Amino acid sequence: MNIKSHLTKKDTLSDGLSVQLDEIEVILSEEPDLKPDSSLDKQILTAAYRETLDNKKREYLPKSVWKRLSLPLYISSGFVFTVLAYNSLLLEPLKIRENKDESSTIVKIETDDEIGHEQYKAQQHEKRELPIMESPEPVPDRVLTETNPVESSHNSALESGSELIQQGIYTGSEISKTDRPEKEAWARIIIGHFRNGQVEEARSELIRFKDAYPDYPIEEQIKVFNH
Amino acid sequence: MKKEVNDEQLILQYAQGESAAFEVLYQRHKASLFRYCLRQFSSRAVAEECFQDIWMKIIRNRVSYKPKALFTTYLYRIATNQVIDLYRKEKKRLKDCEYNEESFDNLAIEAHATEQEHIERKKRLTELRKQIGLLPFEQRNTLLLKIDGGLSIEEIGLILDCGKETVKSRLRYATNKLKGSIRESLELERS
Repeated sequence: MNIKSHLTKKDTLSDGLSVQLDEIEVILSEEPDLKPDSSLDKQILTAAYRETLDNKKREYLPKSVWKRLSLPLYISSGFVFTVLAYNSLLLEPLKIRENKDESSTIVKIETDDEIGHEQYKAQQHEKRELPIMESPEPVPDRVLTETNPVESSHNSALESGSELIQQGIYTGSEISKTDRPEKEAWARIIIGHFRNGQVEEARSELIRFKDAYPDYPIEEQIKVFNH
Repeated sequence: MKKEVNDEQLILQYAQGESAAFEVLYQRHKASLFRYCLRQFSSRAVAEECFQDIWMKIIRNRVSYKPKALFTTYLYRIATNQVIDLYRKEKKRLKDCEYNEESFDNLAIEAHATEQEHIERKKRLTELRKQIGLLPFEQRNTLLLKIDGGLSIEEIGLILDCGKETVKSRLRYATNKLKGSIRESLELERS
């Protein structure tokens, strides 16, 4: 063994010192062999046996196993807790809770007449509560067209829209509902603008239209008005 | 012939649960360690307490033992620390460690020769033990590690955390102080 060969080298003591040490050793060796009591021997050996027995008992569940499992257990428990918390806190309001009470739930089925009666009552109630609105005075057409060009253009658009209404294709109500009317109807409005000579308005609408429907072949339809 | 298992292997076997290995180890070292304890304290009761504590420490720390050094180095390092602890614990015991003639008188010396020779031997041995007891702790400890433990200078240096030269100088001081009693014993032997 390396340790042993390294440590058990012969001591390089001076002759005088080694002689003196030998002499001391010789004198002390005359002393009878000093040994501990047998009772002390028994105590120490019993303790040694007991320790090994305790150790064997501990081997059933060594600490190192728990040390190794601690991190995976921590992670998995954290994951389970998160899932449970997500299910219970976030999804709980959407669940229909079962009525665990023994008391019965009364379901009232209303007939159409009853519903109609209720609606009638509600309408009457609204009528009573809402103030009577006076109808605004009509603005003369002349004032709109001369002072406010935007209003006038709007009127013209309405006129073109009225044409569409007459054709049964487009209704003005649809414009108010959506910012972007259906492409067919929108294209027709733009064409209507060109037809009426409202070039600026038609171009601005055309730009918006192209942004919304870049693939629609409107260029072919307005080719006639480009001249 | 069965090959003798060394101390390091025995303590490792004991750490793995073989209590028989400990018994072998104990039988090998109990005499030298007990002598070391007895010469440190002179009082047999204190020496026995120290001896028991040392072995209990070996038993409890068996798993933490790593064969980096010889087992004897490990054993006597624990022994030295235990002796120092006992000195520090009770000042009364520190006084006990000083020479107590009565305690040495209790030691039984086997009579090998005539009654006169027996008395002379007892006398010179008592004188030497007295001188050893009067040595400063560091010198006494170094001397006893060398004589009782049978350790090399390097091993003693490892145990006491000091260099080889320090160990040698401590041994030299100790032997110089013991010269008187050695000469006396030699003269007695010649006459």
